[in-house]
Amino acid sequence: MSLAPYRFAGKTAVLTGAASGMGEHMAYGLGARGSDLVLLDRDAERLDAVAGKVRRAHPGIAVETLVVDLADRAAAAAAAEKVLAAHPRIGLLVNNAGVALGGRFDQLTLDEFEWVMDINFRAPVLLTHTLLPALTAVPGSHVVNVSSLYGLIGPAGQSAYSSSKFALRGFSEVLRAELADHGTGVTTVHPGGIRTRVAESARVGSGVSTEEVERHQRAFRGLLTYPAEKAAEEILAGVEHRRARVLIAASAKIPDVLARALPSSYGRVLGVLTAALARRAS
Amino acid sequence: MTATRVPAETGGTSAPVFVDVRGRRIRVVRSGDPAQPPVLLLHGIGRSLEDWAPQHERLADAHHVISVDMPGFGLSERMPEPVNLRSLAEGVLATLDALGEQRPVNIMGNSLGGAVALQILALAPDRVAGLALVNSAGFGKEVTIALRLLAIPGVGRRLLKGTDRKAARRTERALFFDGSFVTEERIEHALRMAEQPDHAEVFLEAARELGTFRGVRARWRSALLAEVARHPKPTLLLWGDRDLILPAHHMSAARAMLPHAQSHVFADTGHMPQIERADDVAGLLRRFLAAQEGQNT
Repeated sequence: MSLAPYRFAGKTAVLTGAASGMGEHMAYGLGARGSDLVLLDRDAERLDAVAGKVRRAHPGIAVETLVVDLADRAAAAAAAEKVLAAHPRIGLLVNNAGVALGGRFDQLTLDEFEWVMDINFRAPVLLTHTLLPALTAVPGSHVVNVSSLYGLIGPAGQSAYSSSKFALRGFSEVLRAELADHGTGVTTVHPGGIRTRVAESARVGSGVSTEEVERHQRAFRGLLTYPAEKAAEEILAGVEHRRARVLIAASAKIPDVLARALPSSYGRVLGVLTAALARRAS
Repeated sequence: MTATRVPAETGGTSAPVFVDVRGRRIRVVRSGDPAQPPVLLLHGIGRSLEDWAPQHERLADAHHVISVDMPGFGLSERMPEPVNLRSLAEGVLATLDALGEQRPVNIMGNSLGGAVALQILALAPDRVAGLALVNSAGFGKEVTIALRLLAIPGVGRRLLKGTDRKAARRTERALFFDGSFVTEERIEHALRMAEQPDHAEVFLEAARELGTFRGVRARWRSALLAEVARHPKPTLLLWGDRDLILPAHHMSAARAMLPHAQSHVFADTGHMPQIERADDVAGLLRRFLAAQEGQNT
């Protein structure tokens, strides 16, 4: 049984990581579609700016903000309860907030690894669990989990990030199967290189040398070429049409991503792949 | 002949009167204190000022509110010129002249009335203070099959001739998401309009000028929007998300063409949010007007 298209107008959307990147542009896109907004982010100043911009452009919707660091589990739980108490009916939950961590597995501490898991995986699980009654109270509600291209492939140097995004993808796919009976849709998003603030907000493993840090950041920034605004619109179109999976910029970016992100040990595979793609393109 | 003066102190909505505009009888309702900032309300194709009645009464406490049966529509006589956006815009401006309203006005247009509002801005930017476009024509090709059929020679006239109670009810039903807005009063008024001598003629001229069987013509839309873009004014775009006449996705085109505009989409609302969401629309319009007038809401 397929769900009817999601109708944005008049419904409440809860969105994490709303202060920049894809989250910021999803906030604008949801406002334009007539959704009331609950915007979460840890960056109070940027979040206020985004909320102000949405309110000015769309005076007919309610825009609420909640400043929370999703790495802090107690704070995340309290925020989720607060949202639930104020909004017993939620049409859309977008688990968008995410962080990156640079460095080989042996260069990371377990605390650093867990920081990524908390924000990228446990916070979406917690928010979804807490808000589920409000979501299932709205017929035809929808959940979006923003995984990553690295939720599909696991390149070296992304142990924590890839683990968190694989976990989120697994969670999201199970959720889709389970919530189908409630009439609630679930979309898993796998962005390639979207131009967001994830590079700026990324941490680097404490065992990583300074030049390695610079190399990582250069590589990451080089990857992030796809406009966040376009990515946000593709996600919202995926929600409207209840797509199970939205791949963004991935088809064009996979060879690029592999070439930049994979270490030399994968070079031979990449070389063959790239050559094959180049032949096809020419 | 001049307009019957409405006493300034009445505040609420007054009865329709006919004013002489270039020798033709044009039906208007005006209320509120004439010294207050002016607001002009324009209806859609084949419709009348009654479509704005709920906003008229809600805005009259702080504005000089004028609603018009555009020339040839409602119970107004047509102008001698062929019916098109330009002649409608000129007819409306001439009506403002006849009423002695020369200040820049905020124009609120529904459907075809939105396109006429844009045309007025293109023709006479100095006479426009701002625009509120409600499910407005001008932003996309798609339009209901009922209007596209009218553009087919021979077919349109036969269709309009057959306007009986049943057909009128069907038309009204297509305008609202909530069927309870289809009142006997609205149907009676639709039948009364259909009895006007030039009703079918004007309807067909407008439908064929603006569209073909394939949809709304691109030519007038692009020319008009290019002209409008040269005169940015405070703009509010409103749409009902269940519009069967002009689909709500035209809103994204409207926002792209008028990037300075504010906008809102109403849930479970048809082609006329100004009736179906009267209080919400009035709230947004009052804030929109207050922001221009530098008042606090």
